[in-house]
This record gives sequence, C-alpha cells and structure tokens, in this order.
Amino acid sequence: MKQGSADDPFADDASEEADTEKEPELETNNKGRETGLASTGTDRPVGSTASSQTRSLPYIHSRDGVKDGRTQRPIFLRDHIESGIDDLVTQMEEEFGEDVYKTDITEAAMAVAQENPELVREKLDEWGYGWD
Amino acid sequence: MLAYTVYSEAGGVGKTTLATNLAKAEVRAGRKVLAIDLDTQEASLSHLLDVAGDRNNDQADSLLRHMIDRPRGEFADLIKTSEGIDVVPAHNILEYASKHLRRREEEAADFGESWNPNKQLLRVLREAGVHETYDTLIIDPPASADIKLHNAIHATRHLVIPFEPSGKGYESVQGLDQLVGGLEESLGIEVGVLAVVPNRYKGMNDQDRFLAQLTADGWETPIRFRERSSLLEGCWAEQCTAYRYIEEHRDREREHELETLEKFDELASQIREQKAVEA
Repeated sequence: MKQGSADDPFADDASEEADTEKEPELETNNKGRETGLASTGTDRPVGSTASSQTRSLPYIHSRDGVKDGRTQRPIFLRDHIESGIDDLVTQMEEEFGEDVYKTDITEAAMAVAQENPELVREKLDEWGYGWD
Repeated sequence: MLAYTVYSEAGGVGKTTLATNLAKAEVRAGRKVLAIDLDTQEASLSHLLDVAGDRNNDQADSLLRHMIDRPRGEFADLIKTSEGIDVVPAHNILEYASKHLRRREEEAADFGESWNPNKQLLRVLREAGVHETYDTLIIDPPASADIKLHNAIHATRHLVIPFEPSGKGYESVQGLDQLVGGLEESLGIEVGVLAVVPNRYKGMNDQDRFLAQLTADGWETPIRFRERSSLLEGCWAEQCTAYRYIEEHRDREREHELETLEKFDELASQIREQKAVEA
C-alpha cells in the first residue's frame, strides 16, 4: 500500500487471465513482491515492507481452490475413525458458524498430531505399540 | 475508469458518508458514477441514498448471486439510481458471502476448475462492462475485514481512507497498511492510496501531532473535515447527500456547511488528479 496510484484492474485482461491460473504459492508471492518493488516510490512508509510480510491473508482465503497445493493421498481408515471425521466436521461447522471442508479438517488433524507427538504416542500405545 | 474502495479499519469514522458524498461530487463534475454497497448494516450507503428497498427480499437478484454464478437477471437490473448516482444496493444475503463463495469454490474444485472467491467481484464487473460504462466506481465495503473487503480491494486496487486524528485512528491506518500488505502479496496486486482523509478535525494539538506522524510516514492529508455532526445527522434523517440536504432541508445557508461541500468537491478532484498523474 503506497500513496498514489496503482495499476488499473480493468485494463490488463491478459495478466488477469494468467492470474487466475494455478500457480505454485511461492511463485505467486515472488511475483507480487517484484511488482511491488518495481513500482513503489520512495514515499512508501519505512517499515511497511517488513510489517506487510508478517501478516498475510489466511491460508484458506489465499488459495484458488481447496485442492490447491495439496496432493491426494490414499489413506486406510477403520469405519469408526472415518465417521469420526464427519462428526468433527459437524462440530467445527457449529463452532465457526460456516462450512468447513473435510479436506481442511483432515489435514489440520494431521498437523495437530505432528505438533503434539506425545498424543500420538498415547494413542499408539493404546492400540498396542510398546508391549514388552 | 477511476475506481476506489473507501475503507477504514476503525468504525464510525464517516466512511459511508464520505463514499456517498464523493459519489455525488463525481456526478456534479459531470462523470457517470457507480457506487457499490457491500455493507449489510442498516446504516449503509444504500440506506443513505434510499435505495435499500429490496434488501430483505429473498426473491430479488443480488450482486452476490452474480459473484457465485447464480444470477437471476442482468447486472444492469441490479442498479438503482439516486441523485444521479447509480447504486448497486446491499442485500442481506451478503451477510453469508463467505459461506456461499466458499461453497462455490468447493463445487469448482470438484470439477477441477480454479476459482478464487476473493476475485469474483472484478470478474462480475468486467463481464458487465462496468469499466466501459462508468467514469467512476466507488465501493463501500463493510467495516470488518472479510471476503467482501478482499473482493472490493481486488476489484478497485485503490483506497480512500477516512480516519479520526487520534491514537486509535493512527493505529487503524497502520493496521490497514499491514492488512493491505497481506492482500497485495496473496492476490498478486499492488494497492495505491489516493487519499487519507482526516475527519472531525478540531485543530487540537494532539490531533496535529498524529497528523504530523502520518505525514512523516509518507501519507499526505491535504483535505481535512471538521466536526459536522448536525449536517451529517440531517443527511441520515432525510436519506440524502449533504448537497441535497443543504439545498432542500436547510432554511438558511450556513457558511461552514457550504465549505464542507466545497471540500467534498475538492477532494473528489484531487483524487481524480492522483489517478491521472500516476497511472
């Protein structure tokens, strides 16, 4: 964000076309940064570059689709675990008051597990790992 | 086409009044103006211009329906005209914009399409040829930073920022800078600020201090509005712009109020120049 004029969103048909195509996240970010540098004048407030990088649009709002940047993985689940995902979806939708994707919940569950390996250990223990 | 979103992170700073009167100033300058109301609050631009009649009608077409590819009619039929300003009024369904846009995104993903919910307003406006029909587009988004704001900024790429010269007002400009920085990166756009507009300026020392701070940060504030609550409350009561209010509802001319109108005209003209010089 800088004092003065930026580009005209109604002028560049070609670049908008390209914009809506799928691009790896990293590439999109770099492109945005380059454009910013090229046309930013000296009147841009000092420090705003650093601060703008610390707070970007949340993940679910910046992607073009729920499958963007994700690879499909066949996983093997027992029935009660699988129906537990649906229960979790229902619960999260109640808490947020909006639709929540099953895909997001499944990945979030894996992320939480990775951040809390002790919980995973307990569960595996319950399932029979670690028996002498 | 000149296009901008009037936005402030702080509520109650006269965002909607500013958007409405800038739209009127553009009409007075002989330009064809479209104002889009994305704010579902009762005190919104479409209420101020008295075109909010279909807000509760669930059979009515709405801008959001166009954004999710489920229009009930032509874009042109969404438009109501008031005081020479073409307005796309707010509809209550906008309250659920996030839900509907994300549902549509999911549907698109099922068919392997790429569909970004933050970019749909620009698509709708382009397909409707708004840039060929209008000289000025002004968007009044809700005060909360949600998917409607993302769409507004993506579609206009320019901001006009009203703020109250105070510690809180100063922080809200800083916060906005961060928010917009994030949007610029994730949407791959650059956003320009056409004007930062102090409102309720009383010439107090601490207000001057915050304005000086803002200038030191690189923001210019050539036009300042003083407290005009009597005038602006009158506008809300009569549902009209300040121009019409003074012309039709004031029995005598008040010097300072005419000055306020001149400032709206001047600000509109400065905004046009900003765009013309740097574009």
